[in-house]
Amino acid sequence: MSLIAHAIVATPPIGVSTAGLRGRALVAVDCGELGLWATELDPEVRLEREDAFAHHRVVEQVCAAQACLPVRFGTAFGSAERARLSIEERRDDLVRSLARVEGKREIAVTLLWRSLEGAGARAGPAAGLGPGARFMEERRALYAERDDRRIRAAELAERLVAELAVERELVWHEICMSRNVAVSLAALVPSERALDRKEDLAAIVARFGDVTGVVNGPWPPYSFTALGGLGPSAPG
Amino acid sequence: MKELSPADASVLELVDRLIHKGVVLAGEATISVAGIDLIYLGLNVVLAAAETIEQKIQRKAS
Amino acid sequence: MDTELDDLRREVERLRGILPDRVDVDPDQVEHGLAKLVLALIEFLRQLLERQAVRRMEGGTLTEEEIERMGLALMRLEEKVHEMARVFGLDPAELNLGLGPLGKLV
Repeated sequence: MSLIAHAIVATPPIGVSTAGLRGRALVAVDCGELGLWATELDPEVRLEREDAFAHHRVVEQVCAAQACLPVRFGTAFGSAERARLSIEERRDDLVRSLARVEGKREIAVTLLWRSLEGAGARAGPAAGLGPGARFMEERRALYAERDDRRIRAAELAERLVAELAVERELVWHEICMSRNVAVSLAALVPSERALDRKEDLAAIVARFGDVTGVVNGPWPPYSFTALGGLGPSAPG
Repeated sequence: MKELSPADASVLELVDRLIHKGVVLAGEATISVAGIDLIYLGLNVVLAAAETIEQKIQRKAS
Repeated sequence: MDTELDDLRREVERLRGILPDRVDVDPDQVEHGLAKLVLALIEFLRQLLERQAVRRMEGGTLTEEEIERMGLALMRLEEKVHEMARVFGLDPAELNLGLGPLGKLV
């Protein structure tokens, strides 16, 4: 059998009425101070895209009942005992992470560039240059444009962080992770204020002329499961 | 590369979280969908490690 | 140098800690996934080299002939990498690793 892990909670796990993956019952594995919600599946099963969304629905339900840490989708254990051992190894970190997300939800802000037009217009005159030199000039212009975008994205990220005005450890952001995305940001906010904060952020991003803002959530704390070490990069 | 609509961005943000975020436990097996992405994750860590070393060398040189 | 070695060792431990003991995937998928990964890595290095070359050009230390030769070499490299991507059924534009902190280098 394979136990597909969904979320870690503090004992006792509060019952949720939703099913696990593929309509199977959820199981709660007792790991002492902590509990693990999981679905038992056959080991030969290949997980698919739909399972990822089903996993998210389970995590949302668990998170609505009590503070929880989403587990990386696809994490599987051969037995409850192995799951217990794995969690015991990380117990102190997990307990601290759980304390940090208690009473909070994640809000996500994405800023998309409104215009992706290249730097062709900025490249210098091509007259008298060989093909290699022309190529170098085009690339120079391309990298100059990328640098400008990076500077602007950092500015926008700082404005969002300033607006959020929460402790640094409750905000994560990255800039320019892909061509379309200027800023990707996640913030942990008190659950009861989450919808208000979402509206505030939407109003602020609407004022940025060169990017379109998308605000998502409240979500379970996907971006805040690690305290330092491997995990989303610290801001700045 | 085509431009991203806000709706696409929302789905991508969620999928990004599902695939790349959450507690990383030493599981025994990783099933195929997540498996390919773990290869990417491994590479990110290797390259991040290379960058850290590179930065330190540069700092020493300056 | 010793602290760098310590850092490297720590990073190696970190990498080992996050990889599962076993990855259970379809062999065909692994091949395709690895091809994409290797090409993405090459593409990343290619872009890094381009950036370095542009910086040297901007630094004013290259002659016109050197710039022309460098440009031709980089053009050919880009063509070759993109051709290889297409051989594997990949759109060259797909070849980006989503590198987080390293993405800043290109």
